[in-house]
Amino acid sequence: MTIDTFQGFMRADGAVGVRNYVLLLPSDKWVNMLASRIAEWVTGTKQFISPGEYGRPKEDRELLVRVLLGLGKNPNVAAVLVLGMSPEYAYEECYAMRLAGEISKTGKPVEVVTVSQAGGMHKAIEHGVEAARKLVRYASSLQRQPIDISHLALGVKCGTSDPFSGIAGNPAVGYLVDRIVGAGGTAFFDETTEVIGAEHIVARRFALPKAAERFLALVKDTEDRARATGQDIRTINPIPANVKAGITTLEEKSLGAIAKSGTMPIQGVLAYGERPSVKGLYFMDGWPLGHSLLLGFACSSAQIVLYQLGGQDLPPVDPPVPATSSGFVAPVIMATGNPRTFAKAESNIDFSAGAVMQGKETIEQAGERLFRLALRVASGEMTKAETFKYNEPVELPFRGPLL
Amino acid sequence: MVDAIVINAKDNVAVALEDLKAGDIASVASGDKNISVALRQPIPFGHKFALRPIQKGERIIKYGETIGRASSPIASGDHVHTQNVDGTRGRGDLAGALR
Repeated sequence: MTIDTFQGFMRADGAVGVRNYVLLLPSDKWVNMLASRIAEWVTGTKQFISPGEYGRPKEDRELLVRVLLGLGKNPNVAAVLVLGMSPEYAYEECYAMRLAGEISKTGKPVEVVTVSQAGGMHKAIEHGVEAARKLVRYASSLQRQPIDISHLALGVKCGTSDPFSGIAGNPAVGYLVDRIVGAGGTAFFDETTEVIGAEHIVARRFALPKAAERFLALVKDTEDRARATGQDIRTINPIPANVKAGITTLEEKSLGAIAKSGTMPIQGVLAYGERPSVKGLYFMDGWPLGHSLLLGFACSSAQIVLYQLGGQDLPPVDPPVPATSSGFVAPVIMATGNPRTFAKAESNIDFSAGAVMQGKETIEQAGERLFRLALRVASGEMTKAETFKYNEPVELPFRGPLL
Repeated sequence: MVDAIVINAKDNVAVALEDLKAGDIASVASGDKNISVALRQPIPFGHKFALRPIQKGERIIKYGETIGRASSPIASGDHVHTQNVDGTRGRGDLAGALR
């Protein structure tokens, strides 16, 4: 039997990158502009846009720190430049020095530039540009090597679902997940709202009863919050585009959505952006905002994220597709199961399982094509979304309140 | 070439693979056999129609699982969607009534 491999960057901690970025990581919202100026000047950098930590309760600040550290530790990042107002500024957990210290534990180079140490904002831009240039030259000296696919971690999400998501698109993604997890790799799937009505099927697949209980408790909590609105959830989710495309209830949407998780046992439940300690398949607790979930996967160590787009209700000619930059350091593969969606948005969609709908291909054949595409992307082939120079701020699933 | 598919043998609805017209006799793939269903209403691409009569309150089955309940009687070949199906989950509007 041949072992499937890709060409990746082996990191000091044993994790493997499929990209080789220098991450510009603002420890504070006030230095987003500093990161922007450095990103404009220095090639090979990726900038995270901080939503800020002020006035947020501890749980929400911890979530933000999970995101900052998760991005910094992601193996697609070769080196990190942490930016701050001062080495120790604002809330303790968000201190620039603390973030840098934690990320350094991976063994990757981490530099810190702060406004106070540099002697002002303009000087910080100058110092930051110089530091980033050194780091990207270091990154460029690293070489790809053959890596077995047990080192891959993939995050999968579906969105703008239509009836073909559950029949072709998500099952093909599920095949890909099985292929990676079956080879000893890692995968993440999500969306607590969008398992309501299908949770009994997912719950049976948890390796441990405790994990299944935690999963069911999260689903119940989400449904309780939905009921507390006093509204029929169908007026909220499925969203109007789902309903127009023919999805009638949330249960129907959920039953189609879970197909993307494949068939393997599920190791556990992760909080948003939480990094798993062992490999395998994980459910991530999260809300249905596509952009933020892809970011969450990257923070949990996914090197590649996948968005399975239904898209039946999108505008008829060359529509934009969502989540273009939302993996930040993880490239986004756009896939669809709807042949009409692919026909109208081919310039932005990497993969179509639409031939399954036309009876010309089996799920396994489509899934194998998707797997081969994922290996090429892992080895450096750019996805269509990745060709855009675009960086959109992502809303994080804060619970609030802002105080 | 079929016009629609039944995803699971337990289902009482099929999914249209084309835009189908009222009066069409839809050729429906169900497992390894094809069945014919006379459509009473237009069925857009991706939407569902009933494979048999469904009573008010009866479960709508797709993927072999419950996706909701009929809110009014549904005839074979009727369009099955929000006008005649209610969800059973996340019903904040019914929270009082349920308890």
